[in-house]
Amino acid sequence: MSDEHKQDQNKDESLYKAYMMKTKNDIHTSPSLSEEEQREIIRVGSNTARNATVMISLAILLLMLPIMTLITYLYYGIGGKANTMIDVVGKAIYVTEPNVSLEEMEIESEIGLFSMNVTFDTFKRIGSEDYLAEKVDVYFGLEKPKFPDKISFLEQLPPMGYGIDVVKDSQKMYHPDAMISFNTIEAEDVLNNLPDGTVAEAYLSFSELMKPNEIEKALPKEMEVRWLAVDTGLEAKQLDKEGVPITPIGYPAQVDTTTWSPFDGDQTNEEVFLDILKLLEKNEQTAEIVSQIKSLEIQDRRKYVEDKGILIYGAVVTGPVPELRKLEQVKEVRAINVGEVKLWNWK
Amino acid sequence: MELEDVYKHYMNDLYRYLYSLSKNHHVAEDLVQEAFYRAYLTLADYEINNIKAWLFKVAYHAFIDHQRKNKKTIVTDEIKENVDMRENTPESKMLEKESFLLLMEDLKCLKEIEEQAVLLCDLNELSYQEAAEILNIKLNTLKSHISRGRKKLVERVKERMNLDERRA
Amino acid sequence: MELEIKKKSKRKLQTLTGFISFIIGLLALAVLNIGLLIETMDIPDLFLFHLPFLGVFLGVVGLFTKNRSKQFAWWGIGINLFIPIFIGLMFGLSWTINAKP
Repeated sequence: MSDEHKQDQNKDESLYKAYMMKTKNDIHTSPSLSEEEQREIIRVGSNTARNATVMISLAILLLMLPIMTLITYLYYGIGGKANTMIDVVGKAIYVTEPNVSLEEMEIESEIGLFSMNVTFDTFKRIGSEDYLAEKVDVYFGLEKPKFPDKISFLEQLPPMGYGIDVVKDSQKMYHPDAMISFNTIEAEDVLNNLPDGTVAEAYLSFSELMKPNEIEKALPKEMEVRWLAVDTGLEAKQLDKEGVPITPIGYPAQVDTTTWSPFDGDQTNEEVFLDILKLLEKNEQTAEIVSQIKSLEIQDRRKYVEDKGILIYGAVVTGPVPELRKLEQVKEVRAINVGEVKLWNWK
Repeated sequence: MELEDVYKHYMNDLYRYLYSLSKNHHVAEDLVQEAFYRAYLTLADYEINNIKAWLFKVAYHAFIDHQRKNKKTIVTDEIKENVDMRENTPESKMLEKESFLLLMEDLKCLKEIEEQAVLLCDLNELSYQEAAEILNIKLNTLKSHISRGRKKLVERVKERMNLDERRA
Repeated sequence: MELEIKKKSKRKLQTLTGFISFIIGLLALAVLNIGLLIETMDIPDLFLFHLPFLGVFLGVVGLFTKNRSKQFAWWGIGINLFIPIFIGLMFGLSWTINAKP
């Protein structure tokens, strides 16, 4: 049986082989493509393939820039990331730079590839008018800011560098427990020698901590309080935990009715100040870089302020020089430092 | 050899392969064109060692895509019948059949996968391994398909021989 | 020039409409790139809306041509749809970023 089976199998195999062999041998008579057709197929195939390759490569190349642009816009747009960043930049300026304000409406943002430039002007109130202080350009690579490019229009330039002495000595307002590093007599001489027909901003250091509402009562009438420096627990030593010098933080004393200012009077300025500290706490790195301050220590300072309440150790005022001279007689003021001076504009 | 010459060398093999799959000269020609277009598209990208097996793979995929696209339009049975009708006219039956067409007709009684296996391995002399890769099936699966296909073909051949003997 | 030869010979792989659609898409895309590079949004509507619309139309026609590869038609439709969608998204997003009344 198995032998027979094997024989059968062998027979079948040879039959199949012969069958295939015949087909293969006769292949030249079977349907085929002519030489002409073959050449045409090759030509069209290679031409179309080349066209497709070129066109698809071109398409991919040309899609790159739009897609990257779109990704950038999606990155900044989704979740309002860019808006938060712009918000942080503006508000950091208000609480870290004395007597400086900006026009929220005029903040420009320009989005490039994976980057954004935020540009705006800052102003200082001297006398009754706002003067252009700085033109600021902050570059963000994705959400990482670089130190801002600033063009200053002020006569007194900010201190250069971050050294302990530089930062400490360039302060204009001092906590009652801190040693004043400038010569107070000389500083008063500056004020005394200014012509009467001028207006100026003056940085006051108080002899004791005061509540915000006590300040205006203690000062002469013909001047405007612009900015209040808040005691946050670090000002007496002027250093943070790690020994890095800190700079004052505070808030505008006046309600700002221009559109979109955070201090627009909906809440008291004190409440807005605390809200801003909370915002900056979440974006501390951005805030530090934008305000060019080495150490903000926002968290500790905010907690201190919330515990002890807002107590003021210094203020920026502006007004006519003769009126400012009266400050020398006010017992609550232990030092005056004159800032920017402008020609008479008092109304 | 230039790439073009290599391609030309295998073109008729591919054409017959696609012809036996599609049973239609125009479709086969279009598919050959499509296969060579694809070959030119991809060959720029990388070197291919076994160009013959690779070309068959490209052709196989071209056919599969074609089949998928035309699922609705082609009612296979109908066309097969048409072909049968044409080729079973008395004249053609009388005449000594051209062996390739004979094979094509015999292949009709095979399952498609068996047909593929026979075409690739036995007619076009690709190794089992290569054919298995082209069809994307396991080597053992391919082997069983091919033996089943061969058995069926042998049956057909035997039948025909018996018929001829009786007629003689 | 390639097209004419192809037309004469009956052999064609891609649909003509698909090919034109693809070319229109590339042209519009190139103009969009120039616009982005010189940082202007003042690109003529012809390139942002009219041409892509035509391109989509031709591409769809290309899709219905039988027995031709639809690859070019798909690319044409894709690119030509991308451009107005891109413009729309950009418009919407720039509206949300640093919006001012």
